[in-house]
Amino acid sequence: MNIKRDIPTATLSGFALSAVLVLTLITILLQYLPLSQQRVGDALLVLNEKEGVANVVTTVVVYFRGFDTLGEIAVLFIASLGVGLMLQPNTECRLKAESNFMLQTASTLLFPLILLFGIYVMVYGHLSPGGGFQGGVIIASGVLLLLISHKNFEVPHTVIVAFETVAGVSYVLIGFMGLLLLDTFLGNFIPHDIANMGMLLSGGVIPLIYIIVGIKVGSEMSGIVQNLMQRSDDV
Amino acid sequence: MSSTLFIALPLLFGFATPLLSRLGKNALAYTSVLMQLSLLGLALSLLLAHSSTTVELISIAAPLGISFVLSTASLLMVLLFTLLMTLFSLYYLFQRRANAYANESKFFTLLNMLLAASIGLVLSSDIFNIYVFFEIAGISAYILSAYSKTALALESGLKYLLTGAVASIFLLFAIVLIYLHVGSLNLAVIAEQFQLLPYNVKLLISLLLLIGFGFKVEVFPLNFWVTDVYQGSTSLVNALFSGIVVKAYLFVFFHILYLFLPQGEFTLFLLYLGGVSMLVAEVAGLRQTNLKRLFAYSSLGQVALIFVAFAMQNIQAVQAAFFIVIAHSLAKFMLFLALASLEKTEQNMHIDRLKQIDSPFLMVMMFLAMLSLLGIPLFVGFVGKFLLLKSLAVEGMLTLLVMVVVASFIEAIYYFKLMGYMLHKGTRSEKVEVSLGEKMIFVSLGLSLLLLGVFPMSIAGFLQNAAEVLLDQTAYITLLVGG
Repeated sequence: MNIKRDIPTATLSGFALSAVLVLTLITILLQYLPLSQQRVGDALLVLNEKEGVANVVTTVVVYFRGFDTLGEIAVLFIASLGVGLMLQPNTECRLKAESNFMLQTASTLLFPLILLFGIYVMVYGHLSPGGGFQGGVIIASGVLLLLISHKNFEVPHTVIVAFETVAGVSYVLIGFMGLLLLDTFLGNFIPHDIANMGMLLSGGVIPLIYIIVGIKVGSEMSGIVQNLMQRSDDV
Repeated sequence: MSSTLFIALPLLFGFATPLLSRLGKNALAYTSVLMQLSLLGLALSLLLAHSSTTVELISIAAPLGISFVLSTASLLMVLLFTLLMTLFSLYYLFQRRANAYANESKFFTLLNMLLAASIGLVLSSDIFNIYVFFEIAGISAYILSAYSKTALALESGLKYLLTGAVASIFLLFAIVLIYLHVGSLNLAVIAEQFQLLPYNVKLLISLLLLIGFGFKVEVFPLNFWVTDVYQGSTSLVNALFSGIVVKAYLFVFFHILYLFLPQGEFTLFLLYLGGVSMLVAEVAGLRQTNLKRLFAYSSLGQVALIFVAFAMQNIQAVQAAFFIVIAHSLAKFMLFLALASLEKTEQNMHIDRLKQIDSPFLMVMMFLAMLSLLGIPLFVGFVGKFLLLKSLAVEGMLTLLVMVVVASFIEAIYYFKLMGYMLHKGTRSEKVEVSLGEKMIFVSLGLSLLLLGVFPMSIAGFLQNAAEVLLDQTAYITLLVGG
């Protein structure tokens, strides 16, 4: 491919200019790195011990900054709604190509494993690296694999909507439970004994919320992927 | 009562929309209005209780966790937003039979997400939390803008999306730098330590914040997208953009500014930035023949006026800013809703069509709104402009005073032109039906413009208190982190 012919000079010079600007900015920024290497997370580490959760990142994401996570879920929810609205599913036109027999068999075999792995990452989010966001995306990637390999595969729209609705509503309701019982929204109202740290049943409300996040992310991402797939490129 | 309800309830409603839309054809619309009414009731009861500023913690204590601060100033904005959103939903219900949106359930979801995000922006005391609400408000606004999926709407949605994305990158970068240097995301902690940072870092963060928010508060070089977005979106949605969304961004921008830069280092720069955006917007507005674009330019001018008032950083001027915020929100809401009523037959009206339309009621209502926007005595718009001019004169800022007066004159030229078209004698062929419900919304908006204008003292004390609270940096820090 001849770059000069395919890409206009204006675009190329635009890219070059942005690269120079970005490099300049980074050079300037590097000069003003804070000298005292304060460790901003230490205070959070100390607080984490009270919650009995082995994975500190999970505590921070789900509990200490729980409202941000709720907000991010809302962002994803609206984004998926927007994709659905702008590319309304049209059953008449979808990806036409029939995929290879081997891909079909392999993906059918792989899908349950991907699903299982996604659920594992989701459920063990408070013990090991991973969690709701990652697990949800893994599940959605499994759905994407099936969408690519099977011409007629489709997750029913109602199933996706049911999952996302139940997950979203129960997230906010758990928040309200905290408000009722502990006087703070998203409070950890389920007993969480520090002695249980590292067990599957520990951390009170935190793993529960992360699983809900996982369901929400998984269904939203599957919905987005499916909406995008159902458009053929000639529209 | 908990201030989290203002955010959590609309979010819950948004998530539960698919469930509610199964309950019946009208269940969704009615529950949405009911929820907004109850939020309005909650805000009013908080107003009457008139307690001092309260902090509500989420999960953990203030410096590390997220908290919502309900002060007189933020309560004022919450009250305004819930009131306008309730009126909006009621108006939509009244004209729904004739003019319902496609995919209505999604429309309601977006409305409530927008409400939750605007309130969140105003209440939150955590800069990353503010960023999250910034995104929610942004994305719902992009989709609402492109909702009708006509060529113009899609263009405006895309334009809005691109500028919004650029804005949020700048804001995110500012937040990263702040976290790197201060080690906290809490506004109070940042405010305490911001002055101790090296000058260049302070400058960089301030610039990034200014650019990030500048797109959203529509100041001069960064507002090129606004009129196109207004033209592409439906008038109904425009009412929300100019009545609620931009006001939330203005409030949060100046809230952060007062906290971080108490000495007013950039005051002069910001004042002239506002003055220039005002003049540019009004001059550009002169030549417009499309009603939506015209109102968009007038919105830009008024928002710049509010920007100048907030940038003055003294109690009288901020009080004036609140007056103009209220006046502009109510009046622009009226104008855009009236435009929506007129537009049932045709989108993107040319101003000449005002000569054809036969609807004395809508004409009178638009007339009232325009008079208030122009700052004619007896309307609340006058009170705001008068207080602002007074405080400019007291501070001896004559150049700016002249700028404001000139901008008002230019605005008067095109509004008088419109009024002339509306009073035009001749045959009026197009009859526009306005239902009783719609009329009630317009009358209540118009009456509030008049009543607040005739009795400004009824809210002046409250607004002054709000201005004091918003400007008082030390009280805010003490409240959140103690001592």
